[in-house]
Amino acid sequence: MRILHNMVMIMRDLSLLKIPTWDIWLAAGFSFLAPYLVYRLFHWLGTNEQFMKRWKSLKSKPKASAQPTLCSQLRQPPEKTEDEAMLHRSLNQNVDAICKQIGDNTDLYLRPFQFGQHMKAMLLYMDCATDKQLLDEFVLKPLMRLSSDGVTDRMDPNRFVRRLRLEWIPMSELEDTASLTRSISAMLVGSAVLLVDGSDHAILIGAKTKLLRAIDEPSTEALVRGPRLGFIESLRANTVILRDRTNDPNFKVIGFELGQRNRKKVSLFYVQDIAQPELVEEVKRRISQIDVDDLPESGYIEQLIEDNYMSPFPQLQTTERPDRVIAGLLEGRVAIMLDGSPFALIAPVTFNMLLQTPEDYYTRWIPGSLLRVLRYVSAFVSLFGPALYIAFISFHQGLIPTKLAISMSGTREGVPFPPLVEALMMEIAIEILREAGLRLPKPVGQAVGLVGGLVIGTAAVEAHLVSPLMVIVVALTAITSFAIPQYEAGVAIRMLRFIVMFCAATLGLYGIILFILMLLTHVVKLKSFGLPYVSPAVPFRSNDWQDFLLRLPLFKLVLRPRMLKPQDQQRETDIAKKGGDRDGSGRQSQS
Amino acid sequence: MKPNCKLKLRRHLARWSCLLLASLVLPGCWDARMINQLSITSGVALDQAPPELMTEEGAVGRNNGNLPQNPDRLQVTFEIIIPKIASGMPSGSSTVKPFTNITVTGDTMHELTRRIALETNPIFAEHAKVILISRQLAEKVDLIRLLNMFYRDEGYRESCVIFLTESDAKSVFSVKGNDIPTDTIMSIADNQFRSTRVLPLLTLQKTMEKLTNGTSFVLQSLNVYNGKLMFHSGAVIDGATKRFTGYMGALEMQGLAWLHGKKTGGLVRIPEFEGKPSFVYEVKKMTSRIIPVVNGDQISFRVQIRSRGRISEDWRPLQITENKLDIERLLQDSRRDVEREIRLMTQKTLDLIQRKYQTDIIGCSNELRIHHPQVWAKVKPQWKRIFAEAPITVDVSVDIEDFGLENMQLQKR
Amino acid sequence: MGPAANLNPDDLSPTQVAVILANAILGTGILTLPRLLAVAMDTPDGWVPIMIGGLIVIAFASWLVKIGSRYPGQTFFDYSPTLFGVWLSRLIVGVMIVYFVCIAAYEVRVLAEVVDMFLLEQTPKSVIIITMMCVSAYLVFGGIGAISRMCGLLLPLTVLVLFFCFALSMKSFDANNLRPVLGEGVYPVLKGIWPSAMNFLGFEIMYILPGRMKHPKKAYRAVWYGIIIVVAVYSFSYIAVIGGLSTEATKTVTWPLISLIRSFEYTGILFERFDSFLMAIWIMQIYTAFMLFHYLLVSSLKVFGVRRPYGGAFAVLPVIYILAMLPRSTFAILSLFRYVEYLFLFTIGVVPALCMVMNWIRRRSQHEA
Repeated sequence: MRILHNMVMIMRDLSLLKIPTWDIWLAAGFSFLAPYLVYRLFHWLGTNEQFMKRWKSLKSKPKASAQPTLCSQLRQPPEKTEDEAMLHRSLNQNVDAICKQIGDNTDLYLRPFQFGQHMKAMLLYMDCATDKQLLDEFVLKPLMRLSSDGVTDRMDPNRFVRRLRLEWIPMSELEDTASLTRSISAMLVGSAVLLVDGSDHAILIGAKTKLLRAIDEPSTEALVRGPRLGFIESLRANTVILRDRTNDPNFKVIGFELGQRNRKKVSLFYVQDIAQPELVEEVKRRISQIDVDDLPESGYIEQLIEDNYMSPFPQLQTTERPDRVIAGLLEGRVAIMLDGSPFALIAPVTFNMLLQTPEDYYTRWIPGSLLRVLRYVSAFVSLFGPALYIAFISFHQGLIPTKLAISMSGTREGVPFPPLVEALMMEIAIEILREAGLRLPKPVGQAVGLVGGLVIGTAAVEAHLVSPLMVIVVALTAITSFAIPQYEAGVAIRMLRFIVMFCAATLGLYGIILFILMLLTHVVKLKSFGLPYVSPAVPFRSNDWQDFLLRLPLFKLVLRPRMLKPQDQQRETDIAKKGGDRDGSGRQSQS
Repeated sequence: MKPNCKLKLRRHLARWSCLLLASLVLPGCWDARMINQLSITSGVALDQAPPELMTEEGAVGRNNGNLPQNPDRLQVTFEIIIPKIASGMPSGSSTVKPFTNITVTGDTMHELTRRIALETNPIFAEHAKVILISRQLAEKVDLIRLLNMFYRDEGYRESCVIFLTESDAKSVFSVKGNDIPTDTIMSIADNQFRSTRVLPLLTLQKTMEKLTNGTSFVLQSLNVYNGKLMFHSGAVIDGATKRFTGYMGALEMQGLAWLHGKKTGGLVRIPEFEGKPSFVYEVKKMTSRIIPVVNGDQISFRVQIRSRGRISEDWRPLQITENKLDIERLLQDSRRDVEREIRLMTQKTLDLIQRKYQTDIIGCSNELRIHHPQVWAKVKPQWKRIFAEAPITVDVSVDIEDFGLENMQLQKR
Repeated sequence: MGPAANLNPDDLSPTQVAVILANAILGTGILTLPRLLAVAMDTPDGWVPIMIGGLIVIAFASWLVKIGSRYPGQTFFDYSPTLFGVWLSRLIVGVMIVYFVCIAAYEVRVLAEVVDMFLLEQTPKSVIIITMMCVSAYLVFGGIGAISRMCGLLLPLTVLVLFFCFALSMKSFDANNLRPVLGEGVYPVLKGIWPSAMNFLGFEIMYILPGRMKHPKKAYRAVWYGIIIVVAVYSFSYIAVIGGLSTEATKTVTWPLISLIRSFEYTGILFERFDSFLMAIWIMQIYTAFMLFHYLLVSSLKVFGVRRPYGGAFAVLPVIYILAMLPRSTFAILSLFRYVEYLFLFTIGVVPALCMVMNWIRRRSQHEA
C-alpha cells in the first residue's frame, strides 16, 4: 500500500497523471510519422524499378569474367562455345559468310592472292582501322615471295596455315582461330584476317592503327611538383605508363571486356602481395556484374559499382595522375581503368583522400602538413561559411563580438531581404558563374568570371541588394572551395552547403549542429567496398593518424595504412627494415 | 496485382513524406530576427525616479501587486547604439552621436525593458557592457533585488560590469563628445594597472557572487565633472545590508590596493618627512597575505605585504658620494620611508573600514573560512562586530631593486 | 554485400567500448553536476565524491561486464530469455525499458530547455525534440559499428572543446573558492557521493557492449578508461565552476557551466564569447547520450519478439516524446530525475544480482543432473 501511495505521489509530482493535451498527442504522432515517412521516402528512392533491376543483377550470374591470359591459354586452349559460328574449309563460303554480316560496310577491304598455282588466299581488313603499311611490309611481302617459291602445292591447307603463322609472318600479334564470330569481331577493331582456301582456320593479324594523342600534363589536376604525366584515352598506353613506373613483379593487371554492344576493355590493377585478397575479389565481382550496352567513360563504372548511390560523396576516386594511382596501389588499394577514358578509378576511398594531393608527399613534411591542414580548414569554411553567417546574423546576434555585431548591423541597413535569401542569391549566382566559365573557351571563361564577379559583387552592394559582408562570405566560400583538390569532393561540398544554409535559416546554430550530426551519421554509415568511409579518423589507429591531418616525415610512415588491412604491412624502406623486428610481434596479434 | 498495390502504397508514402518535409521547412524561422531591427544596447543606467515623476501614473506597467513593491520608482536609461553611425558607414556624418538614450520610469526592471517596445525596436541587451547604479538608489535599495533581473534574464550576459555613479547614472550617458560613453568607461577601466584608484572590474557574475555570499566589497564609482566622465572613487557595499555604505578617499583606496595586494602598477609618493624632500616609489609587484590568528576566543589578523619596485622620481638633493656604506644607507632610508608610508596608508584604510564602516572588504572573513572553518562557522552571525574589534597588524617589507634609467652610480661622478 | 561484409566486421575494440561508455554517461551531468553537488554538500570539495562515485561506478560496470562475458557474442537482451525464461525476462526488461524511456525523455527535455533558453527562444520545444529524435533514429539504424565510429568522432572533439573552455575560464578562476579542502570533514563528502554516482547513469550500455566484442575480457580495461575520461571531465568542470562562481553562487544558477562561460569575455580576439562552442559540443553530447539510450531501447525490444529494428526504433519515439513533454517546468524535470534513481538502482543493482543468482541455480541444477 505504502509503495502504491508513494508511486501516486511521484506521478502527481511529475504531473504524469495529467492527460497530455491534444497538442502533445499531435506532436507525438508527428514524432513517429516524421522519421518514419522520411525513412519510407528514402527506402522508396532506394528501391524503385530501375535500381531494383540493378540489385537483382547483382545477385545474378556475372556478365563478364576476367579475360583468360595467354599463359593460361597455352596450358588449356579455350573451349568452343556452342553458339559460335565456325569457319568453313572453303574460302568462298567463308568470304560469303563474312560479307553477309558486314559486307555492306564501305570500308571493308578484300585482298585476294594466291600461293603457287592452286592455293587461294584472301586478306580481309577494315580500311583505316588497320595499318596498311604494316600489312604490306610484313604480311603481303613475305607471303608473295613464298608463293613464288612454289613449294606449297602439295601441303594440307591447315598445316600450311600453321606453318604460315609459325614461320612466315614476322609479326608478334598473331592469333589462330577457327571461329567466324571471333574473326569478324577482331576485324572490326582493326585486325586483318588471313583466310586460306581449304583451311578452316584463320590467322588474325593484329595491325591496328594507333590513334594516340601526346601524353600531356593532366589538365584537371594541375600540379606543382611531380611527374607532368597524365593518362590518355588508350588503355594500352596507360598500362604502359603504369608498367613503366612499377617494376614490382607483384603488380597485376586483370583484364575484362564489358559492354553488350561495344565491347570495351577494362583493366583492374593491384599489387598482389599488398592488396587485401577479399577486396580484389569484391571489386572483381562487382565489375563482372556490370551489364550495359556501352561504357563511354569510367564514370559509368563508378556509378555502377559504388556502394551507396544516395550519398553525396564519391566512393571511388577519379584521377588522371599515374603517380596517384601508384601511390594508391602501394597503400593496398586497387585501380580500375577503362579503354577510352583517361580517368582511372581508385577504390576504396576514405574520407582523407578527398583532401590529399600527391604533392603532400613530394614537398617536405612541414609545408606538406601545413598545406593539408589549410585544405581541411578551407573545406570547413566552404561548407559552413554562409550557414554560420546566417545563423549568427539572424539568430544569435549575442554570440558574436560586440564590434562585429554593430558593424554587421550597420552594413545590413537597407538590405530588403532576409539573410537566407541574400545568401542564396549570391551563392547561386556564383555557382552559375562557375558553371558558365567551365564550358566556355578558356580566355572567354576567365573574362566571364572576372566581369561576373565584379558586376555582381559591386553592383549588388551598391544597389543595396546584399550587404558587403555577405559578398565577402560568398567570395570566401568560392575561393575556399577551389582549394579542394578533388573535383567530386568539391561538388559534394557545394551541394551540402545549400542544405546547411537552409538548416541554419530554420534553427540557427542548433540547425547547423543537427546538420553536422546528420552528415557525420551518414559518413559514419557509409562504406566504400567494405571499408568505413571515415576510416583514418575512427576507429583510432595511431599509425593511420600519422598521415591523416598532418603528414609526418617519411621515415615515420613505416607501415602502410592499417585500415586497408594490407598483407604486407611494411613499407620497404631501409629505415623500416631496421625497425621491423620491433613491430613484428605487434603486427601478428593485430591481424 | 499485388506488386502494383505495393507500388501505389509506396507512391502514396512518398507523396506524404514530401508534404511532411515541406511542412517541416515552411513554418520554420521562429526565432529569426533581422540584426538591423534590434536596438543594440551597450549600457543600462539605473536611477531613482526624480520627485516630479514619482507621482506620475505610468500609462503601462503599474505593479499588479504580485511583485515586491518598490518603495522607490526606478528610472532606467538605455544607451542604444546606432550601428550605421557607429560602424562608420559613409552616410553617417561625424557630428551626430552614434547612440541615443531612452529613459523610462516604472516599478520593476523587466516591465521597463518591455516598455521600450512601445517606443522603438525591442531592447537587445546581449551586448550590454555596463550597468550603472546611482548612489542614491544604491543607498536605498537592496542591490540583490536591483540586479536580480539582469542576472536571471538570459538576455543580459553575466559579463556586464557594474559601476556606481556619484551623480545621476543617466548623466554618464550624456557626457560631452561623440564617443560612446560605455566605450569610454571600458577604456578607462583598462588603466587599472596605471593607478591604484582604478579598481579591478566587478562583473555582474562577481557582484552577485559577493552579494549572495554576504561579503562586503568595493565598487568602482564614476562621476561626471564639468560634462566629463571620470573615475571617482571606491564605493563600499555592505555585504549584510547589500547597500551602499560610503566612499573611500584617495589615500584609503591606495591602502586598500595594498591590502588586497592583487595589483601591479601604481605609485607611492613619499611626502616630506623629517625635512627630507620626497621621492616616488613605483610599484612593480605587490603581494599581500592575510593570516588569521585564532587564540582561544581572540581572533586577530596579520597582513603581510611584500613589494618590489623602483624609485622612479627623486626630488632629493644629489648625494655625491663614493662610499658604499652611504649608498646602502640611502637605500635603507628610502626603503624605510616607503614601508612607513605604506603602513600609514593601510592603517588609515583599516581605520576607515573597521571603525567607520565596519565592513570587511579586504577578505578577512574568507581567510578565516579557509583556515579555520569551525571558528568561522561560529563567528559568522556576528562577524561585523568581531571584525570591527579584531586587531589587525600590518607587516610591510619593500625591496627597491632599480633606480630607473638614472643610475645612482653614474650620478656620483 | 557478400564477401565485402567480411572486410571489416563491426567487432568493437576496447578503445571503442571505452569511448561509447564515456559518451553514454556524459550528457546533462556536465551542466548540472556542480550545482547538484554544491547543494548537497555545501562545501567546495565536490571533486572528491566525483572520484569516489567514479570508482563505485567502475565496480558496478565491471560487474555487468562479468555477467556479460559469460555469454560471449550475446548481449543481455539475447541471453536473458535463456537465463530467466521468457516471461520473467520480459518482466525484468520491461522495467528496464521504463527506465530507458525515462532517461531518454529526460535527456531530450533538458536539451529542449537549454536550447530554448540560450539559443532559440521562440521555437517550440516540440520542434527541438522531434528533430533531435529523427537524427538519432537515423544513426540507430546504422548498428553498433556506425555508432562506435560516431562516438569516436565526437568524444575527442567534446573533450578538446570542453577543456579549451575550462582553460579560458581561468580568467575568472579564484582558487580561494575551492578552499578549504575538507574543511568540514568527510561528512559532506558522504552526502555528495549519491548525487555524483547518479550522474554516471548511462553505463548500463555495458549490458550490450561486451557482447559485441571479440574478447569480452578486455571490457574491464575499457570500463576503467571510459569512466576515467568521465571523471576527468566532471571534476574539471566542477573545479572550473566552483572556482569561477563560488559554492554559494553555484547553488543559485540552474546551468552553472553556461553561467560560467557567459561571465567572461576576451575582447579583441576573433571570438569574444565562447558559449556557442560550449553549446555546440554539449548538444552533441546530449545527442550521443540520447542516441545510445534509444539504441538500448531498440535492442531491448528483442526480448518482446520485435525482430525488425526499424519499426521499434520509430515506435518508441512518441512514447519518449510524451514523457518528455509532460513535466510542466524545469523544476519538474529536474525532480523527475530524482525519481528515476529507483529505476536506476533496479537496473544496475537488482538485475545483475538476479543474473548471478540465476546463474548459480542453473549451474547447481546442471551439477545435480
